[in-house]
Amino acid sequence: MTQSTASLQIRSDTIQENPPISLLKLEGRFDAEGLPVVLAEIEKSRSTGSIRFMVDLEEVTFIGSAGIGIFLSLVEELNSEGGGVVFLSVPEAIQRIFDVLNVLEFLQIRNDQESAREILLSGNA
Amino acid sequence: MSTDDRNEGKAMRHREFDALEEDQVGSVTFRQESTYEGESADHRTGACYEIEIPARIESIGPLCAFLNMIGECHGLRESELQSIEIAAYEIGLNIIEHAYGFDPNARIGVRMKMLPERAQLLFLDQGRAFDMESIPEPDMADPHVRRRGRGFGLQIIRKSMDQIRYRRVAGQNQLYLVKLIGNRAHARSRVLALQKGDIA
Repeated sequence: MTQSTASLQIRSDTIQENPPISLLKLEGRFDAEGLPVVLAEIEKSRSTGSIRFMVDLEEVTFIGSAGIGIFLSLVEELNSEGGGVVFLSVPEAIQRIFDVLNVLEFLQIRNDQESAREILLSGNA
Repeated sequence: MSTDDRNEGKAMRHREFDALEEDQVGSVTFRQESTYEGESADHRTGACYEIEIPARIESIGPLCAFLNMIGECHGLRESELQSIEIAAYEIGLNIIEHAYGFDPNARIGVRMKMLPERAQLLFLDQGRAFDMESIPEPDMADPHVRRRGRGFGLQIIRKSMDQIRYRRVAGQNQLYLVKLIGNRAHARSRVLALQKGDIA
């Protein structure tokens, strides 16, 4: 399923049913206008009981502090429920912002879905 | 992300800026050989640019595109452009939310001056006083802070720019920022430090 704003596209999929793993793929600028759409997609997946997420950021060109805040909050929330979040293919510019905020150590970042899946299923996300 | 993708992203940002209508952004002017009140006492020649935008969230993207275009024209590196863009974005949002309280009729002035070794930015607004220096840094090691998911913008601004100064003058907020650019900036700062005896 795909949702979009003027500058951001969000595609959500369930890539595994049992236990469920949700995939969110973002493309474009994740700025303030994209926040409600991303939140809605996360909530939609959460409402199905999913506590394991992959967030593909490969095509994201910009992310603001509020977008990072949503992700950090999701990580903490899902970790406390025994699930987790793995970020896929994070561009250098986005990693730099994570680094500026000193949050890289709290995030799981991988370059392929298979290793992301392993982490999510191991309970170490 | 490929070079083609990055170029397409830049082209998209340029189109975003080009598509702006005059009444949405206000005037855009270009000046040279001038300094602004509130800047440091640096009288060297630099190219100066000004833009005034409505204090609305939808104006921030075009503002970033405008600053990006200037930076590109002056040969800034990708990482320098990104630092300026994220800082400008977060400052714009802070002014809209905290200084103006989402007043749709308010406006934000932005001046950018390019010198050989640095980019200077000055944000001007007539909203409530807001001194970012008075706000403590978030403790990112605290899981409650991360879970709250808010209040990270100021930290991004602080870490993205090399110098930040705020002052309130006659009801106006003036936020002055500097980004050092290029190898010449590094060389020059070392020469100055040597002259001052800061480096052996």
